Amino acid sequence: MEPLEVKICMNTQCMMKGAMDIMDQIESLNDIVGDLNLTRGINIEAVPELEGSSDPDMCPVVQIGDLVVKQATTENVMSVILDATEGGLYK
Amino acid sequence: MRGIYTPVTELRRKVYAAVAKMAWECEENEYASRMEQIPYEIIPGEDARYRDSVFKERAILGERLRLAMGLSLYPVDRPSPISKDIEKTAIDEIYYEPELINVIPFACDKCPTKTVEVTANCRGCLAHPCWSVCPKNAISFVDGKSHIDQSKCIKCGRCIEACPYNAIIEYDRPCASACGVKAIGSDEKGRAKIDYSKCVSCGLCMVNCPFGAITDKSQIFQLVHALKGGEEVYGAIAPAFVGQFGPLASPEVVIEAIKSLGIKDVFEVAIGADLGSVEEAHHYVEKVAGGDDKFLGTSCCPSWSVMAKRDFPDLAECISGELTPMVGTARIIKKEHPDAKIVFIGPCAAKKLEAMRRSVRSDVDFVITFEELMGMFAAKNVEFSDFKADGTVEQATTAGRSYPVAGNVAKAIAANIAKTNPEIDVKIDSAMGLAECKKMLMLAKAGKRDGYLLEGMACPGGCIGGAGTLLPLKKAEISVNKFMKAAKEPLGLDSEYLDDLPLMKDIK
Repeated sequence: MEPLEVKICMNTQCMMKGAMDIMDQIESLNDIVGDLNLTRGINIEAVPELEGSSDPDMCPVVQIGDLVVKQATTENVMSVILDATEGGLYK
Repeated sequence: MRGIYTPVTELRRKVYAAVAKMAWECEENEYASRMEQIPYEIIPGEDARYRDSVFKERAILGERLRLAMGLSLYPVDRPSPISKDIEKTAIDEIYYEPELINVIPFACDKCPTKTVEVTANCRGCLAHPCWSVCPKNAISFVDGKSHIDQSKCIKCGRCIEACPYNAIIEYDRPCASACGVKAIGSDEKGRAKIDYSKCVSCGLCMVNCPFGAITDKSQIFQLVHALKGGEEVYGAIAPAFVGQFGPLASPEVVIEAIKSLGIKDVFEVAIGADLGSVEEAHHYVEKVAGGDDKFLGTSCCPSWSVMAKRDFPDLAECISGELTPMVGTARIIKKEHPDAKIVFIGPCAAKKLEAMRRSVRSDVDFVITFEELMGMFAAKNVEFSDFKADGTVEQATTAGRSYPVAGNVAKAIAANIAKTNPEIDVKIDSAMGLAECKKMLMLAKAGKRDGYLLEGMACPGGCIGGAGTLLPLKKAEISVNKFMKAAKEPLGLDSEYLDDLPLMKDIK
C-alpha cells in the first residue's frame, strides 16, 4: 500500500504552538512500526502553509491524507494516523 | 520536557510573544495598562484550566510576564499591580535585578522531596528480600505489602535493587534531580527554593519543572526597545541555532528573518569558537604540554566554568581564562562597529549572566534565547517562507560550528594541536551534566587527569540541550552536523578571522 502522506505546517504560529514537536512524535512512530502493526509507512513533509493555518487560533495545522486537522495536537494527530495505517477510516 | 509540547511550553511562548508585541506596539505610557490586560488574554474566561482557580492562574501568569520583562517577582501579601516598576525596565539596555533563575513560589506544587517508595507493584511476597537488605530495619508489612518507614529510611537504595518485582522506586523532585549542583532545597512551606550560593544558572530546573514554576528573566523587552529607538544592533548567533527554527528555515533564512526585525547583520558565534579553539590549543601546548599546569579545562560553557572555579578553587588556574566564543565574536563585531549594540542569540540561560560579568568586559549588550527570539518573530508576524536566501553563510569553520555538541569542543582544540604540534599526544576527557562534570574534576583533583584537556558542558548533549532551545536533541545534532559539513575549512586554525586573535587575549 502507498505510504500515508502527512504534511505539517511550519509557519511561525504553528511552530510556536508545537508543530516541530508534533513532527517529532509522528516520525517516532516509524521507529515502532513493528509494535504498532502498521499496514503502511508514513511519509512526513514540512510545508510552509496549509488550509486554515493563516488563522493563529487554528494552528497548528496538519494534513493527513486528504484530511486537514486544525488545532492539531500530538494526541489527535496520532490517533488519525493510526486509524489510517491500521485499516480504519482511511484504508 | 524537551521535544514534547506541553501547556507549560505554550504559556511560556505566549508570554514571550506578548511582551515583544507590547514593546513594539505600545507607547511608553501605555505599557502599564497593557500589561494588566495580558493575563486576561492569555488565560480567558472564568474556569481554571490546570490549577485550582483562574485567579491563581492569572496571578502566576502575571509573574511570568514580570520575569520576561526582567522585573522581579511581585509581593503577594500586599497590594501591588503586575506592572509595578515597569518604568525601570522600559529602557534600551540590560535591566537586571538578581536573581536570574526564579521559583514562582505559588506556582510550585510542593512536590515531596527525595523518597524511596513502595509502589503498587509490590505483591507482599513470601521472600520479601527488601526486609533482609534494609540496614535500618525500616521495612515492614502494612496491609499485606511492604511499607517503608520514612523516618528510618536513609535512601541507600538496597531494597530497590533487591525487589524482584521492581516495586520499589527512588523518587526525587524533577527540579532537584535535574540540578547537578544540588542547589534546590525547600522553603518553610515545602516549596522549591534555590540556594543561589550553589546555583550556576544552567536552567535545567526550569526545563524540567512540570508545573512551570521556575522561570528565568528575559531581555526581549529591552532589546525591542533598543531596536525601536533606532539603535544600531548586531546579532551574534550561537552555532546551536541551525535547525532550531524548523525544517524550512535554513541558516541563511534564519539570518534574513533576524535582520527583518531591525537587526543590522548577524554573525556566527562559531567565528569566536574558531579563535577560542586556537587560543586554547596554544594554551595547552604552552602550559599543559610544557608542564606548568596540570590540565586545561575548556572555557566556553559558563555554568561549567563558574562551577569548576568556585567549587574547585585549587584547580581554578587550570580552567581556561580565554574569552568565550560569545565574547570573542562580540569583540570582532565591535571592532568594525564600535557604537553598535550586540545581541547574543543562543540556547543558554547562563550566558545572560556571563554577559553581565564584571571581571571581563563582555561587549555583549543583550542575551536572548532561541525560544525568546521565536516569540519576537511571532510578535512581528515574521514568516520564514517569505525569505529567500541568496548565497550561503560562510564565516566559520567546521570546528567552530561543531562546538554546541558535547565532546566536540575538546576535539576541535585537539585538532589544532595535531596540526601545529603533531608530536604532542593530547589526552581528552569530557563530561556533560554538572554532576558528571564534578566527578571529572574530582578525578582531576586526585591527580588522575594530569596532562588532559577537559571539556565540561552543563547541559545534556551540550549546548543543543540548553534551556532556551526549541528542537529535540537528536534533530539538533543532525542539523549541526549538516552545517559543519557545509563549512569551507575544517580547523579553527583555518579561520579567516585569525588576524583578530589579539582581541581574544585582551581579557580586561
